[in-house]
Amino acid sequence: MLISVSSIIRFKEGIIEAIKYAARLGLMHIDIFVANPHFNYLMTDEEIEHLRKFLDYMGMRASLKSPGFVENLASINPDVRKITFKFFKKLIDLAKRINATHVTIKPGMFFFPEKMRKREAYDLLEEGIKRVLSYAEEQNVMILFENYYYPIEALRFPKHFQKIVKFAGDNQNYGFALNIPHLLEAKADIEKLVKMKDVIRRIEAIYVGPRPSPWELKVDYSSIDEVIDRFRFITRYVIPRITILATVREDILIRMLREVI
Amino acid sequence: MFIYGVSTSILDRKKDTVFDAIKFAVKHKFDVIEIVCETPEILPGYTNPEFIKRVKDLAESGRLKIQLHAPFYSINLASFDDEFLNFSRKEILKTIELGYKLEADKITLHIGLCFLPCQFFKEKAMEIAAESMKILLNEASDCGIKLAVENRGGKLDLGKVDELVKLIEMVNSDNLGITFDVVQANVLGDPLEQLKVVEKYLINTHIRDAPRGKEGLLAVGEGEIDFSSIIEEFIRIGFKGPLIFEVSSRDRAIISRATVEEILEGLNKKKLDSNFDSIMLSSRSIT
Repeated sequence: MLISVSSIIRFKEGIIEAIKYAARLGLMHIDIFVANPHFNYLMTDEEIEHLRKFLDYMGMRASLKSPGFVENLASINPDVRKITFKFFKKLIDLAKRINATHVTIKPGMFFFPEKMRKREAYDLLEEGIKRVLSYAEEQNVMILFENYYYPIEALRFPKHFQKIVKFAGDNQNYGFALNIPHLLEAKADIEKLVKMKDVIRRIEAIYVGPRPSPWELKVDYSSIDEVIDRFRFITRYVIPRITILATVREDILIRMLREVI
Repeated sequence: MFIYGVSTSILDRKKDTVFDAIKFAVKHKFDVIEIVCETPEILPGYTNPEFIKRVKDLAESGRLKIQLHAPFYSINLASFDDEFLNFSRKEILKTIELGYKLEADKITLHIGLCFLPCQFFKEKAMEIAAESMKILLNEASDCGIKLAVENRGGKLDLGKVDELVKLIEMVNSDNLGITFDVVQANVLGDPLEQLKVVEKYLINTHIRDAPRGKEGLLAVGEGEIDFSSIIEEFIRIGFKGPLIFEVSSRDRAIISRATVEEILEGLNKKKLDSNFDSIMLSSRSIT
C-alpha cells in the first residue's frame, strides 16, 4: 500500500513546495489538489514537461484530484455539464502526460432542479459518467469517484456506490476513492459498505483526514482517532492501492502518518 | 405602501410552469414576479423566442413587472479558475440578455462560493468578483437593468453583508445594489442588524420566514423572525420595495402579504397613538 499526501498541506506555497515536502517525508506519491492558484491545470507544454521531470527527479508519482467545487455531470443545465466534462477531459490529458496514477472526480450533485427531476438527472449522470470513463479509457487513465457528505451529493451512501458501478457498466478503468471523513460526516453505514463485494473490490484509494473536510483548521484529535479506527476496520476488507492523507495541518498529518504506517 | 412581488419559488416544480406563477400574481394583484432561472423551461440561452414573448405578453397584460433571479448552482463569479470564471460570467451575461428580452428591470445574483482558494486568498477573491461585476454591469447598464447581489448565509458562500458592501464600494456603480434575503441573514444571526449594514444599497428583498438560525421558505409569521422591526426599518429608511415573497407555495405568498399589511396597520396605529399622546401632553402643558 502506497502512502500519499494531499498537496493541500502546502496549499499557499504551491505544488512545487508540496512535492518537496512530500519527498522530505519519504513519501513516493502526492495527490495534487487541482485548484488555482495552488495548481493551475491550464499549463503550457513546457510547464507540463517541467512538472513531469520534477516528479521523476524527486522519485515520486502523482494523482490529480478535481476539487469538487462546482463540477456536476448531473446538472440539468447543459452548460454546467459541458464545462464539467471539458474540465475532466483536461485533467485526464494532463494525467496522461505526467504519468499520474489516476484522476479523482466528484460525479455530481442533485440541487433543487435535479431533485425535482431525479430520473432525468440520473440519466444525465449515467451519460456523463460513461462519457468520462470512455475518454479516460482511450487515454489509459484510471478514474476514481470520490464520495462527499452534503445531502446534495450523488455519491454519498453505500447504495450510491452501487449505482456508479451500474452506470459504469463494462468499463474496467475506474474505481473509488473512499473518503472516510466524508462517510462519517454523512453517517453512512460503513459496515454495509464493506459487505458490498462489487463496490469494495473497486476501492483503489482511501482518503484519511479531519472531519468534515481536510481544510479544517480547528481539529479535534479524537475525531482523527475515529477516522483512523474506521480506516483500520475497512482495511480488514480491502487493502487500497493508495492511502492519501489529507489535511492542511502538519501536526495532524504527522499523527495520521504514524497511525497509518 | 409597499410594492409586493412573488418568486417562482411558489410553484410546484413537478407540474407548474412559469405561466402559472404569472397568472397567480396577476390574479392576486401582486406588482412584480421574480423568475428564478434554474429550470429547463427558463434557462438563459436555452429559452426560445416564442416562449419569451408569451411570458412577456402575459405579464404585460396583467401590468406585472418582471425581474429575474440569475442561475446560481455551479456559478462562481469569484472563481480562481479562469475557465469556470468565464463560464460563470457567460451564464450571467446570458441572463442579462434574457432579462433585456423580457424587459426586466432587475436581476438578483449570487457572488459565488468561497472554497479553499478563496478562504486562503480572500482579498484576491473579492478582486475577481469586483472584476466580474464590472463586466456584467457594462452589459446590464446598456440593457437598462440593475444588478442586485444577494446576501448569503452558507458556510461556503461569498456574500456576507460586509462582503456585499465592500464589493459595491469596489465597483462603485449606480446600477449595482443589494437584494436583502431575510432568511439568509437569519441563518447567520439577527436579520435587523444585517439589514442596517446594507440598507444604503438596498434595491430588492426576499421575504420569507424560518425558525431562528435556520433556512426555510415559510410564510411571514410562520417562523421566528421579528418582521415588525424589519418592516419598521424599511419605513424608517424610506424603502418601498419590492418585497418579493420567496416562499414555498401560493398560499404562503398570500399569507405573507397579509401579515406584512397587518404589521403595517399595527405600526400605523402605534404611530397614531403616540401622536395622540404627544398632542394630549402638549395640550395639557398649554392649559
